[in-house]
Amino acid sequence: MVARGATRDAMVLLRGALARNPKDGDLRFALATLERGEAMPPGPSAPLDLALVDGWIREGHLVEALALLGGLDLGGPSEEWANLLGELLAPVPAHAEEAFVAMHRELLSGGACVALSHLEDRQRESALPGWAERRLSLLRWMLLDNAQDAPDDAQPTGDAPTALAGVLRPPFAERNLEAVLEAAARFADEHPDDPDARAAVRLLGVLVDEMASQLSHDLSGYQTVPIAGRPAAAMQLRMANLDGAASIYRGLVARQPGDETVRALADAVVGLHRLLEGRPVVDRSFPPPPRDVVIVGRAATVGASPSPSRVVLEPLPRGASPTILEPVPTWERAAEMFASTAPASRPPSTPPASSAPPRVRHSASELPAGALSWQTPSPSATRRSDLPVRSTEKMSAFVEPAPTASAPKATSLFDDRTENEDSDDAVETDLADLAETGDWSLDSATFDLTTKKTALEELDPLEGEATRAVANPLAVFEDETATRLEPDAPPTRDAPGWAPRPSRPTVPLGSSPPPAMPRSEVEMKRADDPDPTLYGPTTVVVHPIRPIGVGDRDGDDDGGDR
Amino acid sequence: MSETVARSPAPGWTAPPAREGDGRALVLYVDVDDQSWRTASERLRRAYRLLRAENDREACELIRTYGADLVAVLLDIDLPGSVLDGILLTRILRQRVPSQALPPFARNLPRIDVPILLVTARKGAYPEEEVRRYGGDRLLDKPVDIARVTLALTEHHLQRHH
Repeated sequence: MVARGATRDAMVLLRGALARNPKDGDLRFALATLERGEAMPPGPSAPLDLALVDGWIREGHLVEALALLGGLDLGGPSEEWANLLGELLAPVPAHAEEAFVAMHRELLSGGACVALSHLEDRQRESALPGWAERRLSLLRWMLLDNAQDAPDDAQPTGDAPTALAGVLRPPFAERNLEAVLEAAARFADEHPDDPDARAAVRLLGVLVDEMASQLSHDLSGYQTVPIAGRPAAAMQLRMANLDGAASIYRGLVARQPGDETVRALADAVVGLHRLLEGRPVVDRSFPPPPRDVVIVGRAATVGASPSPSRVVLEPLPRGASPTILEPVPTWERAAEMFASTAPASRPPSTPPASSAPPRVRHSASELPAGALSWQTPSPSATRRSDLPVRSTEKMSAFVEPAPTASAPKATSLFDDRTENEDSDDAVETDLADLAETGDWSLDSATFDLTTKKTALEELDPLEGEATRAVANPLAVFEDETATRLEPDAPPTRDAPGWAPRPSRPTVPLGSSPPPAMPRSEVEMKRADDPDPTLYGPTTVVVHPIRPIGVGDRDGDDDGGDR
Repeated sequence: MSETVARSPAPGWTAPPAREGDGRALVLYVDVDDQSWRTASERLRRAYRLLRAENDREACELIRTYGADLVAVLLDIDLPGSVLDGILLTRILRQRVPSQALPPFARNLPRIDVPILLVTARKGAYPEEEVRRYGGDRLLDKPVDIARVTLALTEHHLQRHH
């Protein structure tokens, strides 16, 4: 922006970002540099286009979006977007009510969701003036993608596609989550083998407990309730407004990426929405593991020959709760790969034709250190897929996977590796050969990984064990009750009905026209384009390292005003 | 709404528009150009309620009457036909000019802390740094639009509160 002569607007943009992150030293440094009239230090540049503005608007960064639109002519609907943002961010009247002042303050500091809550609370008390009504509509439009106006998928209607959804919907229509929880508990008792029923009880328990904790205070003495954040979301839950609650939780996750409680609540809201729509929250679409792949405990493997025909998993420790929809990247890719070879007649939501009971995934991060001993690799063999699953990836599991260009190779299981690249190259080649031959036996002479592991074990038993654990993505799955899994026959490309999947178009950022604003949730789901606010990208702040007293203009290195 | 002081209208004084109860933020627009006024009124009315003054005298009276309710003042720099131009009026509103040196209608004006945005059709003729030195907040091209005005007011708000 500075290079294009929009220095003043760039300063407004920085001020808006600083209002959201007052302690960000880099932002302060950049703003001070511009205020002194100096040139900005070179750094990575992002494409300034409407897609960026669209993302900012959806994340509630309205000041930054307006500054960018005001400083640069981005063409297209930029002028209309700028005018709408200008209307939304316009000051409230000089003697406006406190609720409106708080709304405006939140809008300018990145709290668009909280501002929306202020307006909605004020609307419940009495009718809004015309300008506030207009801004409420604009905020809903910008943040919720017209969710309230979406005729379908906003609230589940019509015949229930599953028995569980049919049980949950009537009490949900009465906006009573406690009754929904009771119905789910009864259904779970009647259908003990249904993992979705157990998951529903757990999700609803989380949400009901949140409502009880956040709304337990007596607020009857207050004329205006200063409600924001989790209390505001709890209010939405009490009204069974899942969209509103999800929106607020998304905003909280975006601002506090490390808050696991909020993430769990956001997951629970979205998971409940899936259940009401009849979609499973426990993913049972993945096939069983390849035959003859052995995962055993460390104590049994060091110096011992494991049984080649069974998979032995250690039982879940007491107190560890099953986690639904933990997307493990390697396993998701494996599921995609095997799904292409699975019989087409099996619906994705039905359990595989295996004698093993339905499995519920457990997050590796929830297991105590002792329970993870069998899958703890040595540092040299640590891959990203073996690390605890980042919570930011949880929400992505709710997005239906798009078809890929072709059936992924077995080597795609290791696409996420970050270390030990050299030694993995040989393994990757071996696995590619293995996928071609269809022989998944570790004892096969064609699989040179066995030789490699043996050599590794001679050097370091843990090294070999780590490699073995990594070789099977199922190492992070476990059932509460069943401790052994009998795998099916390994899928091959020779299976009937196998065909490469159609290619998924890849569009580079900025090369396509910006998405129409607003997009409905239905459009986003169809386009396999998740709401960027759903993830709340982790903010990585890199502070420049400056020696104390050298290059520090005011001698204060705490990022204060210069 | 604050108490307003009843004053006898000055010569040439036109009655201010009746107060409307829609609650939009009140902005004073001082410009003699009817075309600019119509365009600005059309563009800003979705978020702002505009009071118009055609010259310095009307501007001073409206500031006395509605000064406490204003959220911004938009001043034409040139103000043809007026004794005071936009720059001088800005300095008066910021109380940077001795009262004795002012014409009677411009004396004892309340201090204005809201943003003062100077508008002009010849933006290149006035450096923005000079505008800020005299107490103005931003220099805008005519005709103004809602995005530019809101952006300027947002900058003022963020500078003051963050």
